Amino acid sequence: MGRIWIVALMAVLALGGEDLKVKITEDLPYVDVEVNGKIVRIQRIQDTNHKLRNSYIRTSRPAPPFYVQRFQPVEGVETIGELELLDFLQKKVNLDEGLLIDARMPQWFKQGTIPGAVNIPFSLFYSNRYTDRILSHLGVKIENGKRDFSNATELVIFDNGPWCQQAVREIKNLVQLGYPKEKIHYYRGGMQYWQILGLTTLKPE
Amino acid sequence: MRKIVVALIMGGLLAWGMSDKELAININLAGKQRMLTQRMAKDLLMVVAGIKSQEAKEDLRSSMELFDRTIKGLMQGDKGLGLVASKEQNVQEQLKKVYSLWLPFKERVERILSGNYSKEDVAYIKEHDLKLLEEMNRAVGFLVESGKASKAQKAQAINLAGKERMLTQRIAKDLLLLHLDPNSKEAKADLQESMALFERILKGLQHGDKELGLAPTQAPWIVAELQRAQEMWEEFKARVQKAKSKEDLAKLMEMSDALLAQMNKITKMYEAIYNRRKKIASINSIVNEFVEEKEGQKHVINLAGKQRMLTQKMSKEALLAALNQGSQQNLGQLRSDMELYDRTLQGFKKGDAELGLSATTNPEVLAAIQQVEQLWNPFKEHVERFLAQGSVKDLGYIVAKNEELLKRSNDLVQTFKRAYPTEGLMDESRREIVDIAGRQRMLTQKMTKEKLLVMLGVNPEENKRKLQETIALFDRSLHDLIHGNQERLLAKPSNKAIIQQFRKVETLWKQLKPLYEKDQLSDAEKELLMKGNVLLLKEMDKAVVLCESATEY
Repeated sequence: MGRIWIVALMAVLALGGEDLKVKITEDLPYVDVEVNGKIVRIQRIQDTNHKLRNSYIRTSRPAPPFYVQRFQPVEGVETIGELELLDFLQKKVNLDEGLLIDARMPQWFKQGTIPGAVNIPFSLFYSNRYTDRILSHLGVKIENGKRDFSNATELVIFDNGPWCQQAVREIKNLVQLGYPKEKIHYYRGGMQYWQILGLTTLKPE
Repeated sequence: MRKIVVALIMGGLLAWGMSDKELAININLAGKQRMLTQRMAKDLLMVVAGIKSQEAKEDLRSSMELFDRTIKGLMQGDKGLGLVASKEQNVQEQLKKVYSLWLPFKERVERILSGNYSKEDVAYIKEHDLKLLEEMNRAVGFLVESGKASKAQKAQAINLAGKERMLTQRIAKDLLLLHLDPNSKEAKADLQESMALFERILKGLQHGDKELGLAPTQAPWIVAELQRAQEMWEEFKARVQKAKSKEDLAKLMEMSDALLAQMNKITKMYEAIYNRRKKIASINSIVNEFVEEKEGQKHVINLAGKQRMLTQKMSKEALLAALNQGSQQNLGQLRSDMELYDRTLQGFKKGDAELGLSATTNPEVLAAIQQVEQLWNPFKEHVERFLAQGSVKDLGYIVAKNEELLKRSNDLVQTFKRAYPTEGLMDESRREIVDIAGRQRMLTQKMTKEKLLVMLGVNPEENKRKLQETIALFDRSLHDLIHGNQERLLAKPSNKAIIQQFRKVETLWKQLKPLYEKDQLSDAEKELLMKGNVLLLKEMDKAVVLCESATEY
């Protein structure tokens, strides 16, 4: 995992966007996002011989719980890919109009996440003690125990990938609490697809 | 003007009673009021000069209404605008001062809008717009200062970017004043000062300005907008030099509005960064609290599980001491295990910071603790007497009662598990693994105790049967932990470190199992078993810790 970051960092230091060999799309070499007062550049690993060496090279995990998730596990919640996520980072997250949520348990999150993501573990929404406190930071107004979702923040939620159920559980919990489905997007590829494409990951401080 | 800017930076820092988001909204809207003072004066002059007078009138009305609503909102709160009334006395006093200046100003604006106005009304606006601006600026300063130090610096970018909006309108107003009176020295000086300040702040926002309290902007999307503002500004400046006709002036008014819109966009971007940082910090703090609570619960279940093991370990140590097997060492270990069991049990009830336990208030848990105490208190007395006198009677009590204590200790583990709800299949499965692996620790001690009882000839048949059951249970559980068992919710580990640790336990177990099963042991075998048993417990404990803490099982 460490090697990936070093490679990504070296690539950022060595190359400007125009010089990148491996761009995200023809017109998009990279995307910048603000993380803790610093600008982090998301781009692809430039070494075309690079291979993953972390646990995301695994094809199979014990099931249960690691069953493959449906493409659209919750009706009404849109499933998105990497480009839509990057677009969301640029147009929503950077302008505080949306939140990218890593729904995994903190020990996963600490090993590396998508730059710009905030960790809200799926299991938190099983606890009444924390639910409303978190919702109040997602644009939900809570008055006299009633939740008003009319100004709820737009969310993109992800986890380890299509074999992981943490994001789906979080989405289901949020929908059950009344969060508008149209305000939630599911990045099904998760950390596995993100890293398979050589996109920058970040170890939270 | 410069004095005001520096005062903003140097001002004392007071306690703050608003949320961070509310602070940012208040600073932004209070800052916008400064712009409105100049925009109204500019609109008025456009009406007087006959430049786009109808549009200017409409703009003047909406600026007046917005200023009026915002000043009231800043004083009393306004949900629609997202404003919360400040609790700071100096802010409130300053806002009242602004309001008392605003009322006669507003009266004149209304008269001008109705078309029924005098020269004096126009003169009043021209004379008082800067005073209104100055007092409004002071209110913004109090708002910025009343934030904490870290907030203040971040708020400064919002404040100064917002101030640029005002300057666009002030410059436009000065240009109109000069059009109406080309010889006005005051207007000329104010125009020069405003343009210089606009330029300095714009530069400071891009490259930093220590005196103004500005760090260079790093966010590329804001840098791009600042560069766009710079280009617009350069174009505006060039046109100011060449402006001669009324049409030139009308074009400059348009350009100043475009620059205002651009600076407004930039201010909102700074505000977004500020709000996002604060939002993430708040979310992180809640998540940390949640994680600490969950870790605490796991820790409690682990310690409760260890208590089960201690009941068997204490019995084993008492028997070893009675058999004269390393008596002093075993007696010493027995004392410390008794003290640990007692302290942990008290810790569950009253809390123990050193053990990482907080006092429980759950009635079901308290009842289960009481059940354990009813057995533990006399058990402890017998252990203490055994330690002091080494009497067979006390040893007999320990042997007779340890399994009942084990059962009640296990009931307490299950009560804790019920008290801390699980979060779905994954968490439930991991908890089951930790519980079963934790129980294995107890079984290592239980089977050793049973072996010793057989060796001592205490109820040999019954203890032999029990020993076989314990061996079988240890065997089966170790197999399920290594290979997984869906029915028992035990996932097969895929984590290399966990697999290796279980294999280590398995290897050790393969060496010890025949010794537990053998009827007669030589002295060397007895020693091997006693040493091996301690090692087995140690390695099993390592496996429990790994099962509990590994990211991926």
